[in-house]
Amino acid sequence: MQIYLPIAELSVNIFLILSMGAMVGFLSGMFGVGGGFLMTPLLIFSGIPPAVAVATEANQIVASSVSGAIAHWRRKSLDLKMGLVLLAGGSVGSVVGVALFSRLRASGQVDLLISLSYVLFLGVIGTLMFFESIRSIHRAQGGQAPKRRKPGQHNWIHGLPFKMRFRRSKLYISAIPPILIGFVVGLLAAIMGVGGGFIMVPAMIYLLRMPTSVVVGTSLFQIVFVTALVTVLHATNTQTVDALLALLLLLGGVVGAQIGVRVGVKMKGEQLRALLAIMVMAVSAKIAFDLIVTPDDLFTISTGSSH
Amino acid sequence: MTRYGLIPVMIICLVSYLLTGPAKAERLHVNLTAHEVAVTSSFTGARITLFGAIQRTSDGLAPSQQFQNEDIIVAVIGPSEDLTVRRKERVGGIWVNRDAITFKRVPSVYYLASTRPVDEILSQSVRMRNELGPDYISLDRYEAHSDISSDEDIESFRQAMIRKKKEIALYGEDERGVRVQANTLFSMDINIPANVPVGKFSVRVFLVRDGVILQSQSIQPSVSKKGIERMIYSFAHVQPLFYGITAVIVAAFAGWLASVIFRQR
Repeated sequence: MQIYLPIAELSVNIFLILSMGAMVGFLSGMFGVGGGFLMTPLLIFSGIPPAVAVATEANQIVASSVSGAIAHWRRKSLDLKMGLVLLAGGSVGSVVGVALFSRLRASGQVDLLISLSYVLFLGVIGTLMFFESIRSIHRAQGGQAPKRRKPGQHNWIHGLPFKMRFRRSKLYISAIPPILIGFVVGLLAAIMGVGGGFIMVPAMIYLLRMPTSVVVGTSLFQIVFVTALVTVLHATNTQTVDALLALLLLLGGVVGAQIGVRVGVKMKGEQLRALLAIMVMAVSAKIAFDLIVTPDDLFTISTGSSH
Repeated sequence: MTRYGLIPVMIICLVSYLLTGPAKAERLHVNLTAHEVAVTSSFTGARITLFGAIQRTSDGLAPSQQFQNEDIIVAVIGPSEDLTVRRKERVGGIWVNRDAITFKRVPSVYYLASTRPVDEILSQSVRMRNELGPDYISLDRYEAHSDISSDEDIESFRQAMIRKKKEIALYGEDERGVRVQANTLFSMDINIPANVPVGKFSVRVFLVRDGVILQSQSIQPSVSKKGIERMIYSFAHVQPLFYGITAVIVAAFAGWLASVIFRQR
Protein backbone atom coordinates (compact mmCIF):
# COMPACT_ATOMS: atom_id res chain seq x y z
CA MET A 1 0.00 0.00 0.00
CA GLN A 2 1.40 3.34 -1.04
CA ILE A 3 1.23 6.46 1.06
CA TYR A 4 2.16 9.98 0.08
CA LEU A 5 4.53 11.74 2.45
CA PRO A 6 3.43 15.39 2.49
CA ILE A 7 6.77 17.03 3.29
CA ALA A 8 9.12 14.61 1.57
CA GLU A 9 6.69 14.92 -1.37
CA LEU A 10 6.96 11.38 -2.58
CA SER A 11 5.02 8.15 -2.42
CA VAL A 12 6.41 5.31 -0.39
CA ASN A 13 5.27 1.86 0.55
CA ILE A 14 3.73 2.13 4.00
CA PHE A 15 4.97 -1.36 4.95
CA LEU A 16 8.51 -0.48 3.95
CA ILE A 17 8.47 2.49 6.32
CA LEU A 18 6.81 0.48 9.11
CA SER A 19 9.33 -2.35 8.78
CA MET A 20 12.23 0.08 8.68
CA GLY A 21 10.92 1.55 11.92
CA ALA A 22 10.56 -1.93 13.36
CA MET A 23 14.04 -2.97 12.28
CA VAL A 24 15.76 0.07 13.76
CA GLY A 25 13.51 -0.19 16.82
CA PHE A 26 14.58 -3.80 17.22
CA LEU A 27 18.26 -2.88 16.98
CA SER A 28 17.92 0.05 19.35
CA GLY A 29 16.03 -2.13 21.83
CA MET A 30 18.68 -4.84 21.55
CA PHE A 31 21.69 -2.58 21.81
CA GLY A 32 20.16 0.06 24.06
CA VAL A 33 20.94 2.91 21.65
CA GLY A 34 18.69 5.61 20.22
CA GLY A 35 18.86 4.41 16.65
CA GLY A 36 18.88 7.83 14.99
CA PHE A 37 22.30 7.22 13.49
CA LEU A 38 20.92 4.08 11.81
CA MET A 39 17.49 5.43 10.85
CA THR A 40 18.60 8.65 9.16
CA PRO A 41 21.01 6.87 6.73
CA LEU A 42 18.41 4.17 6.11
CA LEU A 43 15.84 6.83 5.18
CA ILE A 44 18.35 8.49 2.87
CA PHE A 45 19.21 5.14 1.25
CA SER A 46 15.51 4.55 0.59
CA GLY A 47 15.15 7.81 -1.32
CA ILE A 48 13.88 10.29 1.28
CA PRO A 49 15.58 13.67 0.73
CA PRO A 50 18.45 13.88 3.29
CA ALA A 51 17.22 17.16 4.74
CA VAL A 52 13.78 15.64 5.39
CA ALA A 53 15.35 12.47 6.82
CA VAL A 54 17.38 14.47 9.36
CA ALA A 55 14.60 16.76 10.59
CA THR A 56 12.01 13.97 10.70
CA GLU A 57 14.33 11.67 12.59
CA ALA A 58 14.86 14.36 15.22
CA ASN A 59 11.09 14.41 15.63
CA GLN A 60 10.96 10.64 15.99
CA ILE A 61 13.71 10.61 18.62
CA VAL A 62 11.54 12.86 20.80
CA ALA A 63 9.02 10.01 20.83
CA SER A 64 11.50 7.18 21.32
CA SER A 65 13.37 8.82 24.20
CA VAL A 66 10.49 10.41 26.10
CA SER A 67 9.34 7.22 27.83
CA GLY A 68 12.88 6.38 28.92
CA ALA A 69 13.37 9.89 30.24
CA ILE A 70 10.12 9.68 32.23
CA ALA A 71 11.15 6.32 33.69
CA HIS A 72 14.52 7.70 34.82
CA TRP A 73 12.83 10.80 36.22
CA ARG A 74 10.54 8.61 38.34
CA ARG A 75 13.46 6.55 39.58
CA LYS A 76 15.39 9.77 40.17
CA SER A 77 18.29 8.23 38.26
CA LEU A 78 19.20 11.48 36.53
CA ASP A 79 21.19 14.55 37.44
CA LEU A 80 18.80 17.42 36.71
CA LYS A 81 21.37 20.16 37.21
CA MET A 82 23.84 18.45 34.90
CA GLY A 83 21.02 17.87 32.43
CA LEU A 84 20.15 21.57 32.41
CA VAL A 85 23.79 22.59 31.90
CA LEU A 86 24.06 20.12 29.01
CA LEU A 87 20.77 21.44 27.66
CA ALA A 88 22.06 25.03 27.77
CA GLY A 89 24.94 24.01 25.53
CA GLY A 90 22.62 21.84 23.47
CA SER A 91 20.22 24.69 22.76
CA VAL A 92 22.99 26.89 21.42
CA GLY A 93 24.32 23.93 19.42
CA SER A 94 20.92 23.25 17.84
CA VAL A 95 20.39 26.89 16.87
CA VAL A 96 23.85 27.04 15.28
CA GLY A 97 23.33 23.64 13.65
CA VAL A 98 19.96 24.49 12.09
CA ALA A 99 21.28 27.88 10.91
CA LEU A 100 24.23 26.15 9.21
CA PHE A 101 21.87 23.51 7.83
CA SER A 102 19.50 26.02 6.21
CA ARG A 103 22.41 28.08 4.82
CA LEU A 104 23.90 25.03 3.14
CA ARG A 105 20.50 23.80 2.00
CA ALA A 106 20.00 27.02 0.07
CA SER A 107 23.34 26.59 -1.65
CA GLY A 108 22.77 22.90 -2.40
CA GLN A 109 25.47 21.59 -0.09
CA VAL A 110 23.44 20.21 2.80
CA ASP A 111 23.41 16.63 1.52
CA LEU A 112 27.18 16.72 1.42
CA LEU A 113 27.33 18.09 4.97
CA ILE A 114 25.07 15.29 6.21
CA SER A 115 27.03 12.58 4.39
CA LEU A 116 30.42 13.84 5.52
CA SER A 117 29.24 14.14 9.13
CA TYR A 118 28.00 10.57 9.01
CA VAL A 119 31.14 9.17 7.43
CA LEU A 120 33.29 10.93 10.00
CA PHE A 121 31.33 10.23 13.17
CA LEU A 122 30.16 6.73 12.37
CA GLY A 123 33.59 5.78 11.02
CA VAL A 124 35.46 6.96 14.11
CA ILE A 125 32.93 5.68 16.64
CA GLY A 126 32.40 2.35 14.88
CA THR A 127 36.13 1.71 14.75
CA LEU A 128 36.71 2.69 18.39
CA MET A 129 33.77 0.59 19.53
CA PHE A 130 34.89 -2.36 17.48
CA PHE A 131 38.40 -2.46 18.94
CA GLU A 132 37.09 -1.85 22.43
CA SER A 133 34.68 -4.79 22.17
CA ILE A 134 37.38 -7.05 20.64
CA ARG A 135 39.61 -6.22 23.60
CA SER A 136 36.88 -7.03 26.10
CA ILE A 137 36.04 -10.28 24.32
CA HIS A 138 39.73 -11.21 24.61
CA ARG A 139 39.77 -10.24 28.24
CA ALA A 140 36.67 -12.29 28.95
CA GLN A 141 38.32 -15.30 27.32
CA GLY A 142 41.65 -14.77 29.12
CA GLY A 143 39.89 -14.32 32.45
CA GLN A 144 41.65 -11.01 33.09
CA ALA A 145 39.78 -8.39 35.05
CA PRO A 146 39.39 -5.11 33.18
CA LYS A 147 41.39 -2.24 34.56
CA ARG A 148 39.27 0.42 36.15
CA ARG A 149 40.16 3.99 36.83
CA LYS A 150 39.82 5.11 40.41
CA PRO A 151 36.97 7.57 40.99
CA GLY A 152 38.00 11.07 41.89
CA GLN A 153 41.16 10.82 39.85
CA HIS A 154 42.06 14.23 38.50
CA ASN A 155 42.39 15.08 34.84
CA TRP A 156 42.77 18.28 32.83
CA ILE A 157 39.10 19.11 33.29
CA HIS A 158 39.66 19.92 36.94
CA GLY A 159 41.89 22.83 36.01
CA LEU A 160 39.11 24.74 34.25
CA PRO A 161 37.28 27.74 35.80
CA PHE A 162 33.51 28.29 36.46
CA LYS A 163 33.22 25.34 38.78
CA MET A 164 29.79 24.07 39.74
CA ARG A 165 28.66 21.51 42.22
CA PHE A 166 26.61 18.62 40.84
CA ARG A 167 25.25 16.87 43.92
CA ARG A 168 23.58 14.00 42.15
CA SER A 169 26.77 13.13 40.25
CA LYS A 170 28.97 13.85 43.28
CA LEU A 171 31.07 16.16 41.14
CA TYR A 172 32.57 19.60 41.57
CA ILE A 173 33.72 20.52 38.10
CA SER A 174 33.82 23.38 35.65
CA ALA A 175 30.61 24.06 33.70
CA ILE A 176 32.61 24.44 30.48
CA PRO A 177 33.03 20.74 29.56
CA PRO A 178 29.33 19.83 29.96
CA ILE A 179 28.31 22.96 28.04
CA LEU A 180 30.71 22.03 25.25
CA ILE A 181 29.51 18.42 25.20
CA GLY A 182 25.93 19.66 25.08
CA PHE A 183 26.82 22.07 22.28
CA VAL A 184 28.39 19.34 20.13
CA VAL A 185 25.43 17.05 20.73
CA GLY A 186 22.97 19.84 19.80
CA LEU A 187 24.97 20.51 16.64
CA LEU A 188 24.92 16.83 15.69
CA ALA A 189 21.19 16.55 16.42
CA ALA A 190 20.50 19.44 14.03
CA ILE A 191 22.83 18.27 11.26
CA MET A 192 22.60 14.48 11.50
CA GLY A 193 19.18 13.82 13.04
CA VAL A 194 20.61 11.83 15.93
CA GLY A 195 20.00 12.02 19.65
CA GLY A 196 23.73 12.03 20.26
CA GLY A 197 23.70 9.50 23.07
CA PHE A 198 26.52 7.61 21.38
CA ILE A 199 28.79 10.61 21.95
CA MET A 200 27.31 11.97 25.15
CA VAL A 201 27.32 8.76 27.17
CA PRO A 202 31.04 7.98 26.70
CA ALA A 203 31.85 11.67 27.23
CA MET A 204 29.94 11.71 30.52
CA ILE A 205 31.63 8.56 31.73
CA TYR A 206 35.19 9.13 30.60
CA LEU A 207 35.50 12.92 30.53
CA LEU A 208 33.15 14.10 33.26
CA ARG A 209 33.49 10.92 35.35
CA MET A 210 29.81 10.88 36.16
CA PRO A 211 28.50 7.83 38.04
CA THR A 212 27.06 5.37 35.48
CA SER A 213 23.80 5.19 37.43
CA VAL A 214 22.78 8.70 36.33
CA VAL A 215 24.45 8.80 32.91
CA VAL A 216 21.68 7.24 30.79
CA GLY A 217 18.85 9.15 32.51
CA THR A 218 20.67 12.48 32.22
CA SER A 219 21.54 11.87 28.60
CA LEU A 220 17.92 10.93 27.76
CA PHE A 221 16.69 14.05 29.55
CA GLN A 222 18.97 16.22 27.41
CA ILE A 223 18.07 14.30 24.22
CA VAL A 224 14.31 14.78 24.65
CA PHE A 225 14.62 18.55 24.93
CA VAL A 226 17.34 19.04 22.34
CA THR A 227 15.55 16.94 19.69
CA ALA A 228 12.30 18.75 20.52
CA LEU A 229 14.07 22.07 19.97
CA VAL A 230 15.70 20.80 16.77
CA THR A 231 12.30 19.67 15.49
CA VAL A 232 10.77 23.10 16.08
CA LEU A 233 13.78 24.90 14.60
CA HIS A 234 13.76 22.71 11.49
CA ALA A 235 10.00 23.18 11.16
CA THR A 236 10.37 26.96 11.20
CA ASN A 237 13.62 27.30 9.23
CA THR A 238 13.68 24.53 6.67
CA GLN A 239 10.12 23.09 6.69
CA THR A 240 11.55 19.59 6.43
CA VAL A 241 9.81 17.86 9.36
CA ASP A 242 7.51 15.19 7.95
CA ALA A 243 5.14 14.47 10.82
CA LEU A 244 3.45 11.64 8.96
CA LEU A 245 6.74 9.88 8.27
CA ALA A 246 7.80 10.35 11.90
CA LEU A 247 4.55 8.82 13.11
CA LEU A 248 4.90 5.78 10.83
CA LEU A 249 8.50 5.22 11.92
CA LEU A 250 7.40 5.51 15.51
CA LEU A 251 4.67 2.89 15.10
CA GLY A 252 7.13 0.37 13.70
CA GLY A 253 9.81 1.41 16.16
CA VAL A 254 7.72 0.86 19.28
CA VAL A 255 6.96 -2.75 18.34
CA GLY A 256 10.50 -3.46 17.16
CA ALA A 257 12.05 -2.07 20.33
CA GLN A 258 9.98 -4.35 22.56
CA ILE A 259 11.18 -7.42 20.69
CA GLY A 260 14.73 -6.10 20.57
CA VAL A 261 14.93 -5.64 24.34
CA ARG A 262 13.89 -9.26 24.86
CA VAL A 263 16.48 -10.59 22.40
CA GLY A 264 19.15 -8.26 23.76
CA VAL A 265 19.07 -9.64 27.31
CA LYS A 266 19.94 -13.10 26.01
CA MET A 267 23.14 -11.92 24.34
CA LYS A 268 26.53 -11.06 25.78
CA GLY A 269 27.38 -7.37 26.05
CA GLU A 270 30.73 -7.61 24.26
CA GLN A 271 29.29 -9.53 21.34
CA LEU A 272 26.45 -7.05 21.06
CA ARG A 273 28.88 -4.15 21.01
CA ALA A 274 31.05 -5.81 18.37
CA LEU A 275 27.97 -6.45 16.24
CA LEU A 276 26.78 -2.87 16.62
CA ALA A 277 30.27 -1.58 15.81
CA ILE A 278 30.35 -3.62 12.58
CA MET A 279 26.96 -2.23 11.60
CA VAL A 280 28.01 1.35 12.33
CA MET A 281 31.16 0.88 10.26
CA ALA A 282 29.15 -0.66 7.41
CA VAL A 283 26.77 2.33 7.30
CA SER A 284 29.71 4.72 7.33
CA ALA A 285 31.40 2.77 4.52
CA LYS A 286 28.23 2.77 2.42
CA ILE A 287 27.82 6.56 2.71
CA ALA A 288 31.52 7.05 1.91
CA PHE A 289 31.16 4.77 -1.11
CA ASP A 290 28.18 6.80 -2.37
CA LEU A 291 30.27 9.96 -2.17
CA ILE A 292 33.17 8.46 -4.09
CA VAL A 293 31.44 6.44 -6.79
CA THR A 294 30.51 8.37 -9.92
CA PRO A 295 26.77 9.10 -9.74
CA ASP A 296 24.48 7.96 -12.57
CA ASP A 297 23.44 11.52 -13.16
CA LEU A 298 25.66 14.44 -12.29
CA PHE A 299 22.72 16.83 -12.40
CA THR A 300 20.07 17.46 -9.78
CA ILE A 301 17.15 19.86 -9.85
CA SER A 302 15.32 21.64 -7.06
CA THR A 303 12.63 24.27 -7.05
CA GLY A 304 13.53 27.75 -5.94
CA SER A 305 16.65 29.83 -6.30
CA SER A 306 20.13 29.15 -5.06
CA HIS A 307 22.09 31.49 -2.83
CA MET B 1 -12.47 13.71 -13.42
CA THR B 2 -14.00 10.41 -14.29
CA ARG B 3 -15.22 8.87 -17.45
CA TYR B 4 -18.80 9.47 -16.34
CA GLY B 5 -18.32 13.13 -17.05
CA LEU B 6 -17.46 12.32 -20.63
CA ILE B 7 -20.86 11.99 -22.22
CA PRO B 8 -22.39 15.32 -21.06
CA VAL B 9 -19.32 17.15 -22.32
CA MET B 10 -19.56 15.39 -25.63
CA ILE B 11 -23.16 16.50 -25.88
CA ILE B 12 -22.31 20.07 -24.94
CA CYS B 13 -19.63 20.18 -27.60
CA LEU B 14 -21.93 18.73 -30.18
CA VAL B 15 -24.83 21.02 -29.28
CA SER B 16 -22.70 24.14 -29.19
CA TYR B 17 -21.32 23.06 -32.51
CA LEU B 18 -24.76 22.57 -34.01
CA LEU B 19 -26.17 25.79 -32.59
CA THR B 20 -23.44 28.15 -33.69
CA GLY B 21 -23.83 27.09 -37.26
CA PRO B 22 -21.44 27.65 -40.14
CA ALA B 23 -18.79 30.34 -39.80
CA LYS B 24 -16.10 31.68 -42.05
CA ALA B 25 -13.37 29.24 -41.04
CA GLU B 26 -12.88 26.13 -38.97
CA ARG B 27 -13.73 26.79 -35.41
CA LEU B 28 -12.41 24.98 -32.45
CA HIS B 29 -14.61 24.16 -29.48
CA VAL B 30 -12.93 22.70 -26.45
CA ASN B 31 -13.90 21.93 -22.91
CA LEU B 32 -12.73 19.96 -19.91
CA THR B 33 -14.60 17.48 -17.76
CA ALA B 34 -13.55 19.62 -14.79
CA HIS B 35 -12.25 23.14 -14.48
CA GLU B 36 -11.33 22.71 -10.86
CA VAL B 37 -9.31 19.62 -10.28
CA ALA B 38 -8.79 18.41 -6.75
CA VAL B 39 -6.06 15.85 -6.35
CA THR B 40 -7.67 13.99 -3.50
CA SER B 41 -5.78 10.76 -3.47
CA SER B 42 -2.25 11.97 -3.16
CA PHE B 43 -0.93 8.77 -4.57
CA THR B 44 -2.85 8.25 -7.78
CA GLY B 45 -3.30 11.88 -8.70
CA ALA B 46 -6.26 12.86 -10.80
CA ARG B 47 -7.46 12.60 -14.37
CA ILE B 48 -9.46 15.03 -16.42
CA THR B 49 -10.53 14.69 -20.00
CA LEU B 50 -10.27 17.35 -22.63
CA PHE B 51 -12.98 17.35 -25.26
CA GLY B 52 -13.25 19.24 -28.45
CA ALA B 53 -14.86 19.54 -31.82
CA ILE B 54 -13.93 21.21 -35.05
CA GLN B 55 -16.71 23.22 -36.54
CA ARG B 56 -16.75 23.22 -40.31
CA THR B 57 -17.02 26.29 -42.44
CA SER B 58 -19.07 27.90 -45.08
CA ASP B 59 -17.51 25.98 -47.92
CA GLY B 60 -20.52 23.73 -47.93
CA LEU B 61 -19.04 20.72 -46.23
CA ALA B 62 -21.42 18.61 -44.26
CA PRO B 63 -21.18 18.88 -40.46
CA SER B 64 -20.33 15.21 -40.27
CA GLN B 65 -17.14 15.78 -42.19
CA GLN B 66 -14.37 13.57 -40.85
CA PHE B 67 -10.94 14.67 -39.75
CA GLN B 68 -9.01 14.97 -42.98
CA ASN B 69 -5.69 16.65 -42.95
CA GLU B 70 -6.32 18.52 -39.73
CA ASP B 71 -4.39 17.78 -36.62
CA ILE B 72 -4.79 18.73 -33.02
CA ILE B 73 -1.95 19.58 -30.68
CA VAL B 74 -2.59 20.06 -26.96
CA ALA B 75 -0.13 21.61 -24.53
CA VAL B 76 -0.81 21.30 -20.79
CA ILE B 77 1.26 23.83 -18.91
CA GLY B 78 1.54 24.09 -15.15
CA PRO B 79 2.18 27.21 -13.02
CA SER B 80 5.67 28.57 -13.52
CA GLU B 81 8.43 28.25 -10.94
CA ASP B 82 12.12 28.91 -10.53
CA LEU B 83 14.25 25.81 -10.92
CA THR B 84 17.83 25.38 -9.86
CA VAL B 85 19.94 22.81 -11.71
CA ARG B 86 23.17 21.73 -10.07
CA ARG B 87 26.04 19.76 -11.50
CA LYS B 88 28.33 17.56 -9.45
CA GLU B 89 32.05 17.65 -9.85
CA ARG B 90 34.76 15.54 -8.32
CA VAL B 91 36.58 17.49 -5.64
CA GLY B 92 39.30 15.75 -3.65
CA GLY B 93 37.91 12.35 -4.57
CA ILE B 94 34.27 12.97 -3.70
CA TRP B 95 31.37 14.20 -5.80
CA VAL B 96 30.22 17.65 -4.80
CA ASN B 97 27.59 20.02 -6.20
CA ARG B 98 29.57 22.76 -7.93
CA ASP B 99 28.07 24.74 -10.78
CA ALA B 100 24.44 25.78 -10.64
CA ILE B 101 21.99 27.63 -12.83
CA THR B 102 18.57 28.89 -11.78
CA PHE B 103 16.10 28.97 -14.64
CA LYS B 104 13.49 31.64 -14.00
CA ARG B 105 9.78 31.10 -14.43
CA VAL B 106 9.81 27.72 -16.15
CA PRO B 107 6.61 25.69 -16.43
CA SER B 108 6.36 23.30 -13.50
CA VAL B 109 4.44 20.91 -15.73
CA TYR B 110 4.52 20.51 -19.50
CA TYR B 111 2.70 17.78 -21.39
CA LEU B 112 2.31 17.81 -25.11
CA ALA B 113 -0.11 15.53 -26.90
CA SER B 114 -1.11 15.37 -30.52
CA THR B 115 -2.98 13.31 -33.08
CA ARG B 116 0.30 12.52 -34.89
CA PRO B 117 3.98 13.12 -34.13
CA VAL B 118 4.34 16.90 -34.05
CA ASP B 119 7.37 16.79 -36.34
CA GLU B 120 5.10 15.45 -39.07
CA ILE B 121 2.57 18.23 -38.47
CA LEU B 122 4.65 21.36 -38.03
CA SER B 123 8.00 22.66 -39.17
CA GLN B 124 10.76 23.12 -36.62
CA SER B 125 10.54 26.89 -36.81
CA VAL B 126 6.81 26.98 -36.08
CA ARG B 127 7.33 24.49 -33.28
CA MET B 128 10.10 26.56 -31.81
CA ARG B 129 8.15 29.81 -32.07
CA ASN B 130 5.16 28.34 -30.24
CA GLU B 131 7.31 26.40 -27.77
CA LEU B 132 5.51 23.18 -28.57
CA GLY B 133 7.07 20.37 -26.59
CA PRO B 134 9.23 20.08 -23.48
CA ASP B 135 12.39 20.35 -25.57
CA TYR B 136 11.16 23.58 -27.16
CA ILE B 137 10.49 25.56 -24.00
CA SER B 138 12.51 28.73 -24.10
CA LEU B 139 14.73 28.92 -21.06
CA ASP B 140 16.47 32.18 -21.77
CA ARG B 141 15.82 33.73 -18.37
CA TYR B 142 18.40 32.23 -16.09
CA GLU B 143 20.94 33.12 -13.48
CA ALA B 144 24.26 31.30 -13.36
CA HIS B 145 25.72 30.89 -9.90
CA SER B 146 29.24 30.18 -11.05
CA ASP B 147 31.38 30.76 -14.11
CA ILE B 148 29.23 28.95 -16.62
CA SER B 149 29.64 31.07 -19.67
CA SER B 150 29.85 28.83 -22.70
CA ASP B 151 26.61 28.22 -24.55
CA GLU B 152 27.46 24.55 -24.63
CA ASP B 153 27.54 24.41 -20.86
CA ILE B 154 24.27 26.25 -20.48
CA GLU B 155 22.73 23.93 -23.04
CA SER B 156 23.81 20.89 -21.00
CA PHE B 157 22.12 22.37 -17.91
CA ARG B 158 18.99 23.09 -19.93
CA GLN B 159 18.85 19.54 -21.24
CA ALA B 160 19.50 18.12 -17.77
CA MET B 161 16.59 20.12 -16.39
CA ILE B 162 14.20 18.82 -19.06
CA ARG B 163 15.48 15.26 -18.64
CA LYS B 164 15.01 15.44 -14.86
CA LYS B 165 11.49 16.80 -15.27
CA LYS B 166 10.67 13.94 -17.62
CA GLU B 167 12.05 11.44 -15.10
CA ILE B 168 9.59 12.60 -12.46
CA ALA B 169 6.80 12.64 -15.07
CA LEU B 170 6.19 16.39 -14.88
CA TYR B 171 7.23 16.86 -18.49
CA GLY B 172 6.14 14.54 -21.21
CA GLU B 173 5.10 14.07 -24.77
CA ASP B 174 2.54 11.71 -26.24
CA GLU B 175 2.54 11.56 -30.02
CA ARG B 176 -0.87 9.94 -30.16
CA GLY B 177 -2.35 11.34 -26.96
CA VAL B 178 -5.17 13.13 -28.77
CA ARG B 179 -7.74 10.62 -29.98
CA VAL B 180 -10.16 11.27 -32.76
CA GLN B 181 -13.48 10.10 -31.34
CA ALA B 182 -15.96 10.32 -34.16
CA ASN B 183 -16.40 12.72 -37.02
CA THR B 184 -14.85 15.96 -35.83
CA LEU B 185 -14.78 15.16 -32.15
CA PHE B 186 -11.54 14.57 -30.34
CA SER B 187 -10.50 13.89 -26.76
CA MET B 188 -7.44 13.65 -24.60
CA ASP B 189 -6.89 12.29 -21.11
CA ILE B 190 -4.82 14.52 -18.90
CA ASN B 191 -3.26 12.67 -16.02
CA ILE B 192 -2.31 14.92 -13.18
CA PRO B 193 0.21 13.20 -10.93
CA ALA B 194 0.30 13.77 -7.18
CA ASN B 195 3.57 15.71 -7.32
CA VAL B 196 2.24 18.67 -9.34
CA PRO B 197 2.26 22.11 -7.80
CA VAL B 198 -1.16 23.63 -7.21
CA GLY B 199 -2.43 26.66 -9.06
CA LYS B 200 -3.64 27.80 -12.47
CA PHE B 201 -2.85 25.48 -15.31
CA SER B 202 -3.16 26.36 -18.93
CA VAL B 203 -4.43 23.93 -21.54
CA ARG B 204 -3.78 25.20 -25.06
CA VAL B 205 -5.35 23.48 -28.01
CA PHE B 206 -4.05 24.09 -31.52
CA LEU B 207 -5.80 23.21 -34.75
CA VAL B 208 -3.29 22.63 -37.53
CA ARG B 209 -3.64 22.06 -41.24
CA ASP B 210 -0.92 21.97 -43.86
CA GLY B 211 1.72 23.03 -41.39
CA VAL B 212 -0.22 26.13 -40.36
CA ILE B 213 -1.82 26.77 -36.99
CA LEU B 214 -5.36 27.78 -37.92
CA GLN B 215 -6.85 28.24 -34.50
CA SER B 216 -5.93 28.02 -30.89
CA GLN B 217 -8.04 27.86 -27.79
CA SER B 218 -7.01 28.04 -24.19
CA ILE B 219 -8.64 26.84 -20.99
CA GLN B 220 -7.36 27.52 -17.50
CA PRO B 221 -8.26 24.80 -15.05
CA SER B 222 -7.07 25.24 -11.50
CA VAL B 223 -5.52 22.38 -9.64
CA SER B 224 -5.83 22.07 -5.90
CA LYS B 225 -4.99 19.31 -3.48
CA LYS B 226 -7.15 17.93 -0.74
CA GLY B 227 -6.80 15.26 1.89
CA ILE B 228 -4.83 14.73 5.06
CA GLU B 229 -1.42 14.98 3.34
CA ARG B 230 -2.32 18.36 1.91
CA MET B 231 -3.48 19.54 5.31
CA ILE B 232 -0.15 18.57 6.82
CA TYR B 233 1.70 20.30 3.98
CA SER B 234 -0.13 23.61 4.33
CA PHE B 235 0.04 23.48 8.11
CA ALA B 236 3.83 23.04 7.88
CA HIS B 237 4.20 25.96 5.48
CA VAL B 238 1.60 28.40 6.79
CA GLN B 239 2.10 27.91 10.52
CA PRO B 240 5.63 26.47 10.79
CA LEU B 241 6.15 27.26 14.47
CA PHE B 242 2.81 25.85 15.52
CA TYR B 243 3.40 22.84 13.26
CA GLY B 244 6.79 22.16 14.88
CA ILE B 245 5.36 22.40 18.38
CA THR B 246 2.45 20.13 17.41
CA ALA B 247 4.87 17.60 15.89
CA VAL B 248 6.83 17.55 19.16
CA ILE B 249 3.73 17.18 21.32
CA VAL B 250 2.32 14.40 19.14
CA ALA B 251 5.66 12.56 19.21
CA ALA B 252 6.06 12.95 22.98
CA PHE B 253 2.52 11.79 23.58
CA ALA B 254 2.90 8.81 21.24
CA GLY B 255 6.14 7.81 22.94
CA TRP B 256 4.59 8.07 26.37
CA LEU B 257 1.47 6.16 25.24
CA ALA B 258 3.57 3.35 23.77
CA SER B 259 5.47 2.92 27.02
CA VAL B 260 2.21 2.79 28.98
CA ILE B 261 0.71 0.17 26.66
CA PHE B 262 3.75 -2.05 26.82
CA ARG B 263 4.17 -1.72 30.57
CA GLN B 264 0.69 -3.10 31.14
CA ARG B 265 1.46 -6.32 29.29
